[in-house]
Amino acid sequence: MKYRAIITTVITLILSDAAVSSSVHERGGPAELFATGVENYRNEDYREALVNWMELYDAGYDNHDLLYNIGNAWFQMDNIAMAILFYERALLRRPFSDEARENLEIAGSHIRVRFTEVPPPFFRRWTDTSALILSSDNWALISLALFLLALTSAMVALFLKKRGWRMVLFPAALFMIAASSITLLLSRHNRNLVYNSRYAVVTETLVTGRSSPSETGRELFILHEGIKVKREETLGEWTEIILPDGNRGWVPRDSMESL
Amino acid sequence: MQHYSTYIAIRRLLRGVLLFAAFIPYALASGQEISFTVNYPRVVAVGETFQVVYTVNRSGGDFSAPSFDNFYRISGPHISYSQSTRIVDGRRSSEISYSYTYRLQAMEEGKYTIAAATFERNDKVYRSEELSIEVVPDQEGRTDIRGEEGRRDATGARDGDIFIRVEPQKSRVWVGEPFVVEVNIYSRIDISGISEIQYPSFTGFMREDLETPALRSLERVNIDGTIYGRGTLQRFMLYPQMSGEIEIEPVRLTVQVRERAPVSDPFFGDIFRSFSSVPRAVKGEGVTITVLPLPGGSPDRFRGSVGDFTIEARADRDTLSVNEAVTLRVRLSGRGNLRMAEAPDIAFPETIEAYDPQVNIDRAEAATGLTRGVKSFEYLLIPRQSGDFQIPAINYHFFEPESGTYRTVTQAPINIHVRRGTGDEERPSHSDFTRAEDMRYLGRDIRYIRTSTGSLSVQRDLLVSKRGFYSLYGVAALAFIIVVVVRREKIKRDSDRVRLINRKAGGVARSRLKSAFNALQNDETDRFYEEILKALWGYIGDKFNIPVSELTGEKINSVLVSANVEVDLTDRLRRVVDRCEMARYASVEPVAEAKSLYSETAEIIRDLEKRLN
Repeated sequence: MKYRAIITTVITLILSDAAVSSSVHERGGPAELFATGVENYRNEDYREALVNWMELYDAGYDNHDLLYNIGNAWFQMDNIAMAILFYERALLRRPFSDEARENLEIAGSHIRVRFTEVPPPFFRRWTDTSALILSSDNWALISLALFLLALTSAMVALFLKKRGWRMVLFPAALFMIAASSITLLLSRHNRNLVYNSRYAVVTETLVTGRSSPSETGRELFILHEGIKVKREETLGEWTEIILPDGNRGWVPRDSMESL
Repeated sequence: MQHYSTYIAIRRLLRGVLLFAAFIPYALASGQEISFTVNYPRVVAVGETFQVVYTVNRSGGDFSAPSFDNFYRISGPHISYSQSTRIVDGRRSSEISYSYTYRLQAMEEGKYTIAAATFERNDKVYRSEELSIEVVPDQEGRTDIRGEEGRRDATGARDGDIFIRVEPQKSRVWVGEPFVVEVNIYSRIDISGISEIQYPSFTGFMREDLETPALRSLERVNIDGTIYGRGTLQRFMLYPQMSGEIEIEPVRLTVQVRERAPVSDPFFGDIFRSFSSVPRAVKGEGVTITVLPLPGGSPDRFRGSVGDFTIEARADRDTLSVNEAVTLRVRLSGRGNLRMAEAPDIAFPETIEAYDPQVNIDRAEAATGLTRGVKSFEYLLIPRQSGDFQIPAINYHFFEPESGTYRTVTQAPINIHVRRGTGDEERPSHSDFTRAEDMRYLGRDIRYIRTSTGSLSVQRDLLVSKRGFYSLYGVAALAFIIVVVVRREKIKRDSDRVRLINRKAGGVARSRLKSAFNALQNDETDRFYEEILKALWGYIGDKFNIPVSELTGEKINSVLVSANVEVDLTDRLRRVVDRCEMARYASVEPVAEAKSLYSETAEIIRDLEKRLN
């Protein structure tokens, strides 16, 4: 973990000029702010806890625990839609998080509408889940490491005179090249799932879904807050969405929040 | 009116006796209470004659009347005595009553107070209440209800002689705040009966009929200088259910008015005039009540209680054994809509089994129209496990109409100690599986927050989104390619050189052999053997790209074996080498031997050349 942090830092230092949020550091750093939020939550001051954690989140701090806690705070403040949004986000950071999944289920039981969901095809679920096991950066680092290792072993194979070693190292190098490209793809897929998610949670209390992107479109359905939908295309102020049961409709673009 | 009051007196007496009979044992034991009462009209007209009657239920005392200043005493006191005896269950009881009657006449208008009369017996002084009498102007032209002799001829009854009012205690109330409404009849003429009373529907209120004494006599009241008889028909307790200006509809009823029959006998008609009851419909006046909605900001657990309450809870014991019962009595006392007050929310510990409370309303004063009372909730609790338990604090929220605010009263937590039971009732039995219950879950809530977290770092731009990241691959690949190319070049160059040496190896060996032959011709034996060895070593070294310094017998052997050279040829080679070494150091080799060695070497090199190329 420590090495990873060092490597990431080195690589990011090479690659970019990262600006660190100053307001968070004025308040004793992210760990301190996180602990303050926990303390507030323990004292049942959910609003204050939410303010502290959201400051962290808005400053770009981003991990499963933080998002999960924010979801809990929203839940305690009876904002089910935001709670669901943050539980979903937490699950994207850690797909096997029991607590986020459980709380998401409980929050979901507060929604008035239930859908018979159409599950995505199995390969889709597999790729999604495996892409989410590690963070995008971790996948990227693994990919890079595998690539370097593949080149190294190929080189070693070239310098070696024994044919036996060569027979092992060359296929291994090829295999690692393949693994490197797969992990690179997973890294990109992870990025698309987590940071460019096409899913969104309805945050307005009631939203009317229409057949066309205008106020005059025929009304197709009424959505309640907290429902997770998939965004298709956006046209001006309108977005076409796909409901969990597969139906489509146009709703105002700002009636939902992306994951 | 007077016969009315006499009648009432007798009735009251009888009722008193009946009531008294029930208490005979106590009455005999403790001695009867002395009651000293007075009966008089509250309002009289100037010139009107009226009676004041003092009644005491004991003989043998000194009665002294006040001086009736401002009134003219026509007669009195007339003393009358009555006794009633009753035998109940073989017990005899008697009640006596002395009454002192004064006939007075009102002189002037005004409000007067007459001091109390006293009754002294056994050195104890009893006081009647003070009289307060209002004297109104003469009722001339207004009609009067001056009693027996002055009864008005009712044939000329006018509107306004009888009216009915719905009289609320207050006309501005909050939603849920109870208040009393009286339906009163006011009359200046004699009424012999009331029937067909239609009370309003009280839309918008919840209604409760209050106990109202049967209407027997009308109480005299002064309304704008006119004396009316007033009687309460019915009293209601109303609980407003909605806000707004709510109208209570008027009351309708039919009164039986005593009317004098028309004169039929010219001689005695005036003496033997007969009366008949004539029904007359009367419609009362409605009233409008302003019901205010409760202000916002009510506590979560507010259940619509309005009034002023206190709460008190008590367990009948604080120490008990498992499976014994304890009664928790929560008393909600105060003033307000007790009837609708709901049980407070109490979160009993889960190991204590709580049954639904038994609810009792004790409103002793309900009949008087007060809303004060006590509502008690009795919970039967049975602890199923031993230990110390706490019944948490009970909060009760209500709205106080006077201040217009919500208030909360709290009962402190109650501790209960539960001892371990005597038997094994507490222990779940392991042998009896049929009694095993499914695990019960009390509720479901979200899981708690994560109280600590790993490293929190700002999520900067993702690596995969950066061009620089991909260039790392490019750099690595480029480096690899460069290394490979460089190495390839070097290998190629090296292998060219080796092949050259290899090709030249045969030629070099042959020239060495030639110089060895020359050395033999010149009889330089040492040089001959040296050249032979050099030819052989050099040839193999060049052929296999081995430096001459590394060449040993074994090395050559292994190199030749790996190059698939026959063992026969290798042996021959080694023999030649051995002979050369030996000859070099021993130098005993004859020239003929040297010649055969030379041809042998040439042959080996030729064979090797054949073999290796």
